[in-house]
Amino acid sequence: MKLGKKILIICLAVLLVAVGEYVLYYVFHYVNFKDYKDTLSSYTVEAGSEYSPKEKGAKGDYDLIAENNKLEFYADPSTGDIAVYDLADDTWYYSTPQDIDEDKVANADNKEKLKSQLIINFFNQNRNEGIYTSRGEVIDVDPSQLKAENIENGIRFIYHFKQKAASSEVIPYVISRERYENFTSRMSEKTQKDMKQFYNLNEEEDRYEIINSLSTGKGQARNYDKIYKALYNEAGYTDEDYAIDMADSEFTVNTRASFYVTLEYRLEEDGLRVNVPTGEIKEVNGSIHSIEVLPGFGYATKEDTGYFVVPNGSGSLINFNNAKNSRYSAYIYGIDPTLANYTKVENADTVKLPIFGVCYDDHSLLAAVEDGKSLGQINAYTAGGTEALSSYNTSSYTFYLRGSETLGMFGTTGNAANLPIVEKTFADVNIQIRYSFLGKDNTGYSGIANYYRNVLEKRGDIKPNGDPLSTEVSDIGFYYDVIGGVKVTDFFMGVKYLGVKAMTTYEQAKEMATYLAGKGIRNQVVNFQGWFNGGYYHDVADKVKMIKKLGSEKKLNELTSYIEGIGGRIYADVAFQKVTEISKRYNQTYEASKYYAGYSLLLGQVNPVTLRQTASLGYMETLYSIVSPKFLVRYVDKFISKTEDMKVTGFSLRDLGSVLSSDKKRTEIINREMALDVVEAQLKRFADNGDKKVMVSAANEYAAKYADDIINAPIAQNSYYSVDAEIPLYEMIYHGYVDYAGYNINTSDTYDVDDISLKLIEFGCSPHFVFTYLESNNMKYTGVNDVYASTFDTWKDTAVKIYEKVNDALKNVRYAVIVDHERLDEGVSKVSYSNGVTIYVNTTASSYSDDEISIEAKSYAVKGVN
Amino acid sequence: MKKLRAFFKSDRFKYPLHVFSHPADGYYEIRHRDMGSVPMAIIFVIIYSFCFSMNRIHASFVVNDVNERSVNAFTELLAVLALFLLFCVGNWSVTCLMGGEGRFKDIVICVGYAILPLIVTTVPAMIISHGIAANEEAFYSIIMGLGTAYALFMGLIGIMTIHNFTLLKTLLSVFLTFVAMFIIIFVFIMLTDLVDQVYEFFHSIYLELLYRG
Repeated sequence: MKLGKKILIICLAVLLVAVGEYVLYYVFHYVNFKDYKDTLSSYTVEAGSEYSPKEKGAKGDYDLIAENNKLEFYADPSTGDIAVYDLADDTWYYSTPQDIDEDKVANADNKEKLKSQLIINFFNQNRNEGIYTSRGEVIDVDPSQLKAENIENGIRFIYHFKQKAASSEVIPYVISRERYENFTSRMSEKTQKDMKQFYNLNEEEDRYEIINSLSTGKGQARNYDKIYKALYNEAGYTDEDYAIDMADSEFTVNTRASFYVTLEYRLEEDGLRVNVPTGEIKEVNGSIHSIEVLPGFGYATKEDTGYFVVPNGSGSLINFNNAKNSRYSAYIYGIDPTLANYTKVENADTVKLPIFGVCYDDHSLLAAVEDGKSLGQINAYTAGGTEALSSYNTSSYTFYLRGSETLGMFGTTGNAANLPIVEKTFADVNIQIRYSFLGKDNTGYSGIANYYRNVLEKRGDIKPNGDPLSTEVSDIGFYYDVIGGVKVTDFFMGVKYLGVKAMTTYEQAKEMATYLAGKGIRNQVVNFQGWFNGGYYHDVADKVKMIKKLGSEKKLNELTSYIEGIGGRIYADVAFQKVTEISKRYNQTYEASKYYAGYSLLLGQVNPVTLRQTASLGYMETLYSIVSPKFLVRYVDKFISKTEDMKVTGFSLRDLGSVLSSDKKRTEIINREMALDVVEAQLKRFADNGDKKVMVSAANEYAAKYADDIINAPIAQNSYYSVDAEIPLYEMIYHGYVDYAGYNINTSDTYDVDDISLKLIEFGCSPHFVFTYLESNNMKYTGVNDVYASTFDTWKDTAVKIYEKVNDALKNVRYAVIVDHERLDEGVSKVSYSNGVTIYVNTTASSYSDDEISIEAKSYAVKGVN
Repeated sequence: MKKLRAFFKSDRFKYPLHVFSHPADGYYEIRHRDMGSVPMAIIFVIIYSFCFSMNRIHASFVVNDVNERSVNAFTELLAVLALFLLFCVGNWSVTCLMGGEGRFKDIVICVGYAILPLIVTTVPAMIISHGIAANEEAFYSIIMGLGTAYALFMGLIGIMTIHNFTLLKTLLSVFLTFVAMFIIIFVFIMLTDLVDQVYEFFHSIYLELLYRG
């Protein structure tokens, strides 16, 4: 053999081995990596027994199903309507407005919807969307399509959604000779004679065929009805027979969608638990897209006064009958990034709590989702407007079980260009909503917050930080982000590359902390950002490489012990889900969440001109993809094991507690509810990570329960047209349980120290700043240029001033719980705490006084301090 | 080793200077006595590319309205090399048909050596630009203009000499070269677009098979 040939063979062999190795690596590292499945939750469905109510016809059509010492639960098995009676308050809650038939505003469709317990949005076989309501497609078609079963302390309804088919859809176009004769033999002689007009014998095929002219000629419907009656009523023909006959024919069979959906109610100590176990859903010729549960429950009439409480940002109120012609609807935990539009038109806080409340004059209803949260959407409709759907104010949850999307196809135009995609399977989850009926002890939105806080505490999700009744004075936290390393564009002989610039070294950070400590700020909570893997937009966290320019690890330990020594905490910031585009160790093709078409998700900054959220604006590092939940497990695993020896107080999770994305990879769809299970398991790992604490940025409810500190908590509502007033719902729930701070003050949209501090005082919120030791103009040409005002030297005095002002008020209530929040007047509010302290805040430019208190313009007053 | 030593023979470095001072004579020898060197020509192009980028980055703001942060010397190098190759290929394909005597190698050398005046003038001009005030851009422009003019002159003489063309025929061939360059670019863009469309087409079919069924 010649040398050349030998070399060629050796090269080929090496190549083959390399390729083989890569394939093995690919299979084991990516395809067969199924660790995330260990974190998924499952559920069981209770077996039902024959329906037998406690008392039949206990109230009109309603049977008494279950009762306890607070509540009575009624249901009407012929319509599926339910009612709950609150004994203490003597109030009734109905699933259907009682005088709906007299309503002059609602049209027939909306009346039907309000009379339903379930509204289903679905795709039929041609992937056209349709709506079935439990009134229109179950009860009105045939009441026997609703079946009731007894379950422990409750009732289960099995709805069979099925439209009434037209005769033409259920009579066979062809029928074999043998079967035809068999059926006709059971008919009367007259009918047999009629049938001869409708069917012809085709000798060749040995079958009877419907006469062609019937299918086009006049009076066809009448003829079809005749055939229907003859076959179904006289000859005992059934749907199964129709399937048999049409199976052999060249005609397509009737394809109307029908569904079986189970809805369970259980009366519990403190409320009504409603379940929709989606594992029990059966689909025939259709795919369910979404289910709206109890659209009319807890409705308010024109005469009622009160409001809806929605977790819109910090929280909002929507007044009944506000005549705004606009509905509030929002996805719980924000929209799934894989379904979000590229164009982002609003900068809004997502819904962080899976609850809404309906507050009437002296009682309220709290609806909290306990399972299926990530699929849920909160709806609230008000009445009174010219375009109102009905004269009732209603609210409900919609759950999206399946994703769907339209893909643009190549080379075609018009309708054919859009290929609708519908997922093959739907999310298997036992959707669970708990309706709690709050009486006189818990009125208004304060009642909602108090009650829900108790629920969370009872469930073990949150624990008080101290004694809520203590009047002990204790400094609140001074939160600040320190930006360490930042990716900057450097040049080598005119060639660009990304280097790291140290905006703040560990020593400089210590200097800042010392300065603040000198001003008496001891409870410093530091969130150190950009400390590893290349700075602020760091590479994936499976390896941890500290940035040398910031100083040695020893210096970081010194910083940590200094801050912990003065009574503060220092967190090292890490992002897990959003991975920057410039990451080197991350395989975007395999590891990122995908769209249906197989492309990886890739988002970035919002381009101010086009509003598309895919722009890099010149800084590639700001583009990011989202790690599929499948691989999130591995990164968290590795990060935790690599940082075991680090001496920081804990880790700050930049995106783990706020981003929730599904993965639409065709062969392994991970829906949002599964993603929630995975993410929650990872948060738990951080909570159980030795004695390290956890800080979560913009924490959703599932993340707040693992957090010791929350940063970037929502401290404002999104000022949608549909909402009427801002409330600190999030803050009222968490104050005294989890320490929290809002957005950084440096880049907030007001400079007025009074405005900033009063807002914080009202919301019981610690101040939050962002600092760099070098001047922030050093970051002008970097991806972190949204932090344009962070220089410590410029900010330190203002920061201390704001802190002192806020701390002066809030140090009295550090461990207390907000028991009541009240608007005394526009811009004037009164916040009462559990330890007897009351804080009055006047944000207006004129002084306020009543018999209780008088407050200067733009100031606050504290009452109840010894 | 021998080859390497031969490459660094001082002639190779000196000869471009000879061409610089005696264009007609120099190019004649390149064509007929193989006095030129392709690597040298390419090195000149690369050096020029860096001078060009440096000028865009460092020239004084009086004469330079480029945002220096937007300049990346590496991408500009690729662009300059691509244009250089395009011109050579274009010229070669045109002169082949017009009966030019130059080989591809000669064209590469001819264009590469002709760039020398640009290298020589860009750097001084850049330095001088820092010593001038507004309204004195002329000093900068004159130096740059001289360089450009002499480079064009050298290129023209070069093409004329290596192909043994008359002046008129040379001018015609240069014009046709640019036409050829545009055609090449056009065909290239069309081809990539077509390949892209074919890919899109099959990808669509794939997606449709996956999801329509």
